[in-house]
Amino acid sequence: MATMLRWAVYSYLILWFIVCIVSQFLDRVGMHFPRMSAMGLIPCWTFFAPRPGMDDTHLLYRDKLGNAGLGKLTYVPTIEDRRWYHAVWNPQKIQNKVFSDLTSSLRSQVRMVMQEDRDVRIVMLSTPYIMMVNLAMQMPRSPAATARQFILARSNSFGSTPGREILFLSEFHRFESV
Amino acid sequence: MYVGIDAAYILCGRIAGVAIVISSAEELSLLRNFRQGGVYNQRVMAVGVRTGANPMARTLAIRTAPLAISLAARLAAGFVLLLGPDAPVFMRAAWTTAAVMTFFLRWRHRYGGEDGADQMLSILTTTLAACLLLSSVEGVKAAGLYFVGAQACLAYVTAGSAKLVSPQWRSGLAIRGILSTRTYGLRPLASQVQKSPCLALAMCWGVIAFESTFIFAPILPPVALLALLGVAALFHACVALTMGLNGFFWSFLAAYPAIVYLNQALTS
Repeated sequence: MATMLRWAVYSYLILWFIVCIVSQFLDRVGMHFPRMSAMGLIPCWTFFAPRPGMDDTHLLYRDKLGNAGLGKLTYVPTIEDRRWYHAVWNPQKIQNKVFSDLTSSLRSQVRMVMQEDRDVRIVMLSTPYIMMVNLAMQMPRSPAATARQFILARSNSFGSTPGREILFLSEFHRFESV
Repeated sequence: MYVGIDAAYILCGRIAGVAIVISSAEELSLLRNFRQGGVYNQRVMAVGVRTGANPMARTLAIRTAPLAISLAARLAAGFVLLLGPDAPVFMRAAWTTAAVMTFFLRWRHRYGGEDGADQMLSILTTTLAACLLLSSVEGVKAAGLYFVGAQACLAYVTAGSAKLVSPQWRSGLAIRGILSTRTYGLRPLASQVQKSPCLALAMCWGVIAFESTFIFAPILPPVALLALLGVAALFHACVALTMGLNGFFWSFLAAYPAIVYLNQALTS
């Protein structure tokens, strides 16, 4: 019995390792082991490669001001400047990652909808879109603001050409009347 | 240099304990953001939870209390691994608690917040917990260490290979681009690498070289292995300082005793 159990454990670990090796080259392998993938047991070890992220993605918003037109573009503070203690303590990296995953997910959904030639507004029902609206609507507003739009933009903040490229514009969402 | 099986488990536990304590405490400090009215309101994030899901699953997915309890349990397990006695019963309980809570948090975080450091911790906690629970079966404890050591080597080799096939990494552009972001960069360092393309190129190829060398780690002579692990630890320390990715330092170092143990088995 003990011998059988030992060989069962060895076989499981060897198979698991082989799956991990293969999955580094073939993304589809994880789809055959959905529970293990979901639990993070089929890791992806390609950090910042082969296509490294070389831009910051920013969340901005602007308000509709009744008859006065549109307010100015304002940043939602999603990126914190580096501090020395981030080498030891950096909870902000969790928020960065959540925001990064939400934006990637939203952009993939928009691409997919456009490839299928469907109305892009369907992404308004997606969790990433709803999360972005929630984030933007939490920001302070002037009494004159009646609705708010969020915008995703990217820039290379410390680069030699720090321009900003707009990636996505949402619909305007009305504030609830108090 | 010789590391026995029990010493390897203890060392893995002590170092992983630091990683688990820091990551759990970091997440606990963000708890208010996941509450009602917070910027990452869990009720909004759980919009994707199926309406037919059982009430217990919905509660666990949406309410803040299960999140707080699981983080607190994980934090306690981390402290036991870091500071607790070496007795097998404590190690089994701590590794198992850390593994189960890590699974729960992974299930709960549908939208990220996790990176390669968390992946390494998932692998470490699952494997070592399972092998300690089955430790009465001869050979299982050693198999767990071999697996973790091999997985850590695979992580470095994969990272190095992915960079080797990337034109941005081979040309030095990757380091210049990554360090030019506010998310992962530092303005003074960004300005330095932009002024000096040779420095950026050397940094890129230095990272590719040391990561790819891990393919030989299981069979290197002891001194060479220690040197390679030293370089890797220094790399993770620099990444923590410049990019704020502090988790990688502790979670990958926690696997080093397992790499040494694997190397001993293959070279002796």
